[in-house]
Amino acid sequence: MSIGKIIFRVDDRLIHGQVIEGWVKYLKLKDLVLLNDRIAGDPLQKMIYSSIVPPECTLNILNKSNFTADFLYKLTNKTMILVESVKDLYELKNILTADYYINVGCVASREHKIEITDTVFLDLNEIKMLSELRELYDIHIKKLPWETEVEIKNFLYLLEENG
Amino acid sequence: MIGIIILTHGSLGVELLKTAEMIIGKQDKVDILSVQSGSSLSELATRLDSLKEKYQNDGLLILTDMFGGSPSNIAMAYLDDKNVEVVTGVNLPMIIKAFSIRKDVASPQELAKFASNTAKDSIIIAGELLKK
Repeated sequence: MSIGKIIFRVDDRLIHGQVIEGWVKYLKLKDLVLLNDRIAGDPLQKMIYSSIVPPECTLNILNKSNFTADFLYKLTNKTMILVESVKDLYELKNILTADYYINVGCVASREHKIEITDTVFLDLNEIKMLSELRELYDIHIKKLPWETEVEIKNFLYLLEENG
Repeated sequence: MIGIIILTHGSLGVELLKTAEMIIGKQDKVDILSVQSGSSLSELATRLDSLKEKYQNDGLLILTDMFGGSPSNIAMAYLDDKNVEVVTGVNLPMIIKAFSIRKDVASPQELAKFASNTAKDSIIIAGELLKK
């Protein structure tokens, strides 16, 4: 499998086993980008994430505000850009185009969340944001690259059912 | 005595502790924390914070299952405290060693060294051993 596109992934665990053992190795990714203000502002967290990235991979950790379309142009199609939440992905909507692969991998279960898969639990607000993005782009919901993605034919049905 | 937390994916930690206790008996000052699929990591960090307080005076060794995995990433965030050490790649010999000698070592770092060396030495290709 070769996606051949820059991947945007929503994962509240950011870089962890699924990303390193799954996506990076399977797709031979070369570059990882973390868009997270909390990590970017914390030297210890930056060190932790830098230490776990495989040697064949680069890692950039950026504040969300420093991530612009200009930065995107410099990236190869062996790149995964990780954000922590659906909200963070939604905030990038002016940058996203159909040229990118959008993956929702891990969004933890909390109160008032609807179980979509064993790793993706969404609240109504997140469903609304993804519904809006889905009007323009494919959203691939799966934790690992070789899995069959979950088809949600109609997000709005979830809204009606749970709203 | 240095406290030990076993922090793993799924039920690995629970089962490792049960098995170690089958071999060397019931242990004190040990806690098991687990990262489940779909579970929130912030709740886990809250529990780790309170356990760190609990072991503040004794020192703490956190054993995790895999370097790069989320249990290990969470544990490593506590390394800014000199009283905490983390060893990844936990296995049964490592746990048994750590339990057996923790009364006799001065710091979590020293305990970590013993635990790590024991775990590495415990991995043997048995067929090669028999050929010697």
